[in-house]
Amino acid sequence: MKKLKFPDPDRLQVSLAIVLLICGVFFGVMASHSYSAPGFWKSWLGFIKLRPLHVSSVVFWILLSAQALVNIALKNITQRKIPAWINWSRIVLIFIGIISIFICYFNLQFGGREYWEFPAWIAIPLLLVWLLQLAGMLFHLRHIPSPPVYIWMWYTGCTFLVFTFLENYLWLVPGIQNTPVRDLMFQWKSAGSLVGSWNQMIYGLGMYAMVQITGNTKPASSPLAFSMYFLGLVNLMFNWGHHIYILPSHGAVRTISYVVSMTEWIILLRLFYLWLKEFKRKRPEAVGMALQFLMAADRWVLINLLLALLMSVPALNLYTHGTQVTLAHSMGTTIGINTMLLLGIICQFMVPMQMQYGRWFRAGFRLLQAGLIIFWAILLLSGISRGYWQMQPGISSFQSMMLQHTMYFRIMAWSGSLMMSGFYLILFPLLMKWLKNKLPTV
Amino acid sequence: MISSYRLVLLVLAALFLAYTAWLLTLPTPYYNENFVRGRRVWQKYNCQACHQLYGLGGFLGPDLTHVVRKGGKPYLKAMVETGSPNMPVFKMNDTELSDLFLFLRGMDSSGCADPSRFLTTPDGNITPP
Repeated sequence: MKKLKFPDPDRLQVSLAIVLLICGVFFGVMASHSYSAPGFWKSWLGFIKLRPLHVSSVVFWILLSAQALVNIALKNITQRKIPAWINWSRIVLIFIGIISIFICYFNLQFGGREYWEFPAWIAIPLLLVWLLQLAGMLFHLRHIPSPPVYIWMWYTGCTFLVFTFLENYLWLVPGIQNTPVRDLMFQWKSAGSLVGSWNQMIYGLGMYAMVQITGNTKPASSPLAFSMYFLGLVNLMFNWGHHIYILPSHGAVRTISYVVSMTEWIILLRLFYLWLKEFKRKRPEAVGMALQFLMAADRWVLINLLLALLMSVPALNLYTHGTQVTLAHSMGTTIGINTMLLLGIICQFMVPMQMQYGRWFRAGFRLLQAGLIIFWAILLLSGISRGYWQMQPGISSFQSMMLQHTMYFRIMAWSGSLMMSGFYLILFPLLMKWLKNKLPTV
Repeated sequence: MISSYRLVLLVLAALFLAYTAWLLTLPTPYYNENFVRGRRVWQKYNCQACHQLYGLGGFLGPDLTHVVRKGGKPYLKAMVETGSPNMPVFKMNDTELSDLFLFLRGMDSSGCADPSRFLTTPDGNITPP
């Protein structure tokens, strides 16, 4: 009798994450058309469904791919396999969670909060997924005697993800749900820290991939690397207040967040120094897609960090808060940094070199970068214009302000479509090869 | 070296937990059960997809923190029942509409969400009106 062959669970999870990215980009482009064409698909999909579909797909692309790639990397480092039941329980729970979310959204069953709009019970399988992930990672930990900084980043990232995910559901607790200011404060504390947590995991993966590409392990264990890690961690813990400067919370929350956010200038200056060094260095004419994605992420870190620093100054934040400047920052971060890094790491771990030099891959990469820079810039411009409007109350109504922005929204929607074609040129061939079982896991 | 890194991590984690605990003890306006039910209506109909409270939420519709000042419950009822080119019509019952109104009235009285009324200080910080 022929023995049944099961796919590798982590590889299956990366494939699922890529499917979610494909869906997320599609829903996002459709949602952006709602801005320029009011009522776009209102009777069938509508913005009320499209936004959560887009956000959840993209959030789970980031979380699931980061989780699976950390597992693949740990397996490579320790050369040990965690018990199969941990992996397969995680995969089953992921499928239960994701399918339930999509069914709820399509049936207009909401009940959660921004970014997590699904009914609260779905958080239970998702929490179990993260607890199983943590258990699997702890299994590897005792086999790593002196961990370099990226190992620290994976473990703190995962631990904080569990903590902030739980904190995100504090609104179910009496005493929090009756207090709007405290409730909003904790909602944005957890949302801010959650992004910081997945950044820890993804930046750690980026560093691990660079170690693999260059073969140089020293920078990942240097005191400087650990100083930067702790600086990032302090920001994860205490800088989330820049989301809620105008909320009537305690003044110290604003001041602590302002002061901590400003420490990111150190990271920015260091990145700028490294970028200048890299700029002066003669680069090889052709590099694989893994390095291309990692280098693109580097540029996006620089641009987004500068924007984040400016937005973190409370006096400037008054002009950007609640405008598309915030959206430009979150798109630049999730697409420009997180997605570029994750795609680079996927290429490094799983895509053979000859495919990385493929024509479609390269064309897709260029379209993606061009689409993203136009998208980001137009969001920034429309956000600045909206910021000016909100600081001059009474100059025009909300509707006329939105009408005046129609041209911005059209460019936003079409640059989003450009980005989508770039993504699909990269993702579909990758997925097809995967389905035909032609891509190895390194 | 690793042990000193562990110590730094422990100190930071302790500070983070202490800060979180302090945030939970801060005095803050407290509302009754109607407000909680209204918030559930807000979430059930996913109003946050398009609208904001204190500038937090979607960008397609206006910020609703102080919307009750515009025309009270009749205005809210008219908007919910007729919609707009972008906004779908919602079939809320009277209880849901009342709860939503009480929720928005609670939000309105909780503070000021108009950035143009904040004052800036020379160090780049801001103070509420």
